[in-house]
Amino acid sequence: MHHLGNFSMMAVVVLCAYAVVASLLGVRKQSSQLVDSARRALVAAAGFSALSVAALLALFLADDFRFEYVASYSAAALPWYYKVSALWAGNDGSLLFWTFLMLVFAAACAISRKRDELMPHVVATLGGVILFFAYMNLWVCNPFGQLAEITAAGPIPFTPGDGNGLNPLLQHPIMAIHPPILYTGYVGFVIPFAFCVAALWTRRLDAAWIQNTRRWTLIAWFFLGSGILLGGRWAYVELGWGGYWGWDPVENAALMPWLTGTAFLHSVMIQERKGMLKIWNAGLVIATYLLCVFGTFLTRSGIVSSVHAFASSEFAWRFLVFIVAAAILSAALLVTRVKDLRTENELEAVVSRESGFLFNNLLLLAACFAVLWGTLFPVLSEAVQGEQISVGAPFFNRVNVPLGLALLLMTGVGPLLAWRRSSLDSLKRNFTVPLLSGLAAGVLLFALGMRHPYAILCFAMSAFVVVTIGSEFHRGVRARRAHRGGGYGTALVDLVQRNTRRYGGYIVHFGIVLLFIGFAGNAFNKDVIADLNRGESTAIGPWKVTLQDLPGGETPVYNWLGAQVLLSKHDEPVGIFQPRRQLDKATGQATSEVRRHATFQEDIYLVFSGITEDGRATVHVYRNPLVRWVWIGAFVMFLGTVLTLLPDRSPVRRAETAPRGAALEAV
Amino acid sequence: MIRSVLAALVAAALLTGPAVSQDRYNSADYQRVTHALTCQCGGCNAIVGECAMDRCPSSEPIREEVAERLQAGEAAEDIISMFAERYGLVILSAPPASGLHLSAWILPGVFLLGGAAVVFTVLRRRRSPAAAAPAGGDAAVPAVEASPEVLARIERDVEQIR
Repeated sequence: MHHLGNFSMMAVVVLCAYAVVASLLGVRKQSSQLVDSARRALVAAAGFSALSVAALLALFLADDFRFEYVASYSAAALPWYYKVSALWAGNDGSLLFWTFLMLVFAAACAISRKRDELMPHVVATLGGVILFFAYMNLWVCNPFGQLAEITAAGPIPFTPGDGNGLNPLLQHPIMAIHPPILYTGYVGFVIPFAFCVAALWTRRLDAAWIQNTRRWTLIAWFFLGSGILLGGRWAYVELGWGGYWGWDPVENAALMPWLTGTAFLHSVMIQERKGMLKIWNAGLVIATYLLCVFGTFLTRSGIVSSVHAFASSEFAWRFLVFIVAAAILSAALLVTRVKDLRTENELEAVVSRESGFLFNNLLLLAACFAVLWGTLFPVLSEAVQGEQISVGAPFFNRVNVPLGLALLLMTGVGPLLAWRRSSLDSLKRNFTVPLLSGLAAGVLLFALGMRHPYAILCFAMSAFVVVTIGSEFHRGVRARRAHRGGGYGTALVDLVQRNTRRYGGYIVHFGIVLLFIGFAGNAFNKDVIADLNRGESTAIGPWKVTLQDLPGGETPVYNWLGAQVLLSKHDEPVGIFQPRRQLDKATGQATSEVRRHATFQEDIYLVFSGITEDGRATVHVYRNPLVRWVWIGAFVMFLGTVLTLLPDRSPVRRAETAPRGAALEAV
Repeated sequence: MIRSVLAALVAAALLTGPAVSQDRYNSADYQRVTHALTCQCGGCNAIVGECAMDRCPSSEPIREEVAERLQAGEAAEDIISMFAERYGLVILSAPPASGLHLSAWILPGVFLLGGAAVVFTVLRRRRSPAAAAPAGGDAAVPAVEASPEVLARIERDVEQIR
């Protein structure tokens, strides 16, 4: 099986190299056959990449511990589904999987956009990028390496009786889907990047490349965001520290391209409508992809210490060379095309939708810079001053919370501003009700006793944005009913179907508001630690936790001990919960299995930390308000994004978003 | 019987440490100090007050010491300074706002203000009376945002033309 894996990886290298050479030769010789063969080479490479992943998977499922990667991350007693997810538990396998996903995107693009004028250069760019990853798979991080014992007579093949097992923290259903989803987001940005490079390369710099890659960008953005939120969910339910976001370097690595990708999704509308910000948008796409690659470099190089990181010095310098080379080439392309990227229109007013997007972009980029700066500061500090330093959550929260609130405000302000310029009358008309709603919410919360300034601001702005979104829907429905009649519901569905992008976007914004409401709950988190004998209780607010028993047990994979507690509120029983400590047999690692009582108002999060010397159970109880809204917000964002991906039904909208020239045709 | 022996064995493996009153872990000062310090186990970067690692060789003794010092009447700031002296600045969860480390705090603000200055400059420079005229370079772009009412009207007209 490993021969098949190695052969497939070699085939991917050869096919990607061929795709680069053939597509460029095809352009030079104006041979559509060569260009087509290059395109097909990428599709074939995706097939071989799938074979290499299947080969590694087969080794995991067969418990073939002759192979170092399998022995390092699996064990015979591991359930089959965790043997599958062990594929991406380490550096080598996850990079193989990364290449496979990138090739799936490349092949889908090569098949679906084969008539695109930019395709030869897109194929060359994709082939070049994937060639690097395929080279890393084959020669630097090959997951098919066999174990060997070094003896005087030379290395002798060695097969351990069992593997080291999978890190118990990764033995969770979310971990079976979080990495593939996150990777899909990371690698998906390679498509807009390749189109951008191709557009710069060929100087075809109208809005066509942007319109052709809008769905690809949205899909990548959606997967990256979903991956980040799933990671947060995993941290919350599995790690046992009561939170879902710790500003770990690897979390930050995923957040940065998401922020620049979000900026791009907004600023691209200005280019589509007005032919402006061409350099800016090309720069954002390039930056987003480079940040994706930089993110995986951070995760895999060991340059920053992180619980998620796979440290590998072999890997680091090669990746750095690739990132620097890609950055230089992209920057050179951008600089040499500046004249072709001249704006077709001018900004006309400070108070306009366009400037709103510019400030939204500025805030997103400032947040991205703050995250990048904070993540790299320890490395820079050590390099410059020779002094180690930590940059943790207190720094990131202090810097990013105000930026986040400003972004939330812009989420509401943007849709209220008109394109080109907003008159004073329209500002008054559009802003009065939302602003008064926000103000009323803030005053009400203050009157009710809330004193946390950021939390009050967050809730007030949330009210402002929700009223903005509601009024946008209401105005639209009213107009449709005036035009076509019918009920409110029918008009609403009709309205949304006719402009999925706009109204899907508003739903995403609504999801963002819910996320921020969940984030604001952090300001009121409380926790209590208590050592309890059976029958003893600890309280947190109206909640009481009473220890009933200390049950224990064993599975083929781990031993466990639980603290069975009765949770009650205002002395009314709510339920019996059993947070556990588990001792993984293969790794000897102890982990927490938290239990939660989740409501729309708050989560009661129970952690059993262990037993004291005198036999009492140490129970850590967290009271986390509004956490559930984070997950609901994520789901709403999912719905909104799916909606934006659906095609419009309106001929007017289609004409408006089609490339210029096509508009008249459509009408 | 076997279950209780097993439970005892697992319990022994999961011992949290000596039996002490837990009230001292729930004070505001304890929270403040343990959130100002980071775990020094060498890989996790966790905040000491949040480190969930089982019997962490770094966070647990630090938490114990913080609780003891607070009980002995030491001020929270003094305890943080003491740990910074003992371990170096690396133990602090945020860089100090002094010396070269001040740049950690300042640069994001500089980036934002610099960016805002650029945006304002671009907006001022690019605003021109010619561009503002309706007969400018892009006649196809509507003068105002196409409101739902306007879109509905255009749609109706288009349907009539057809």
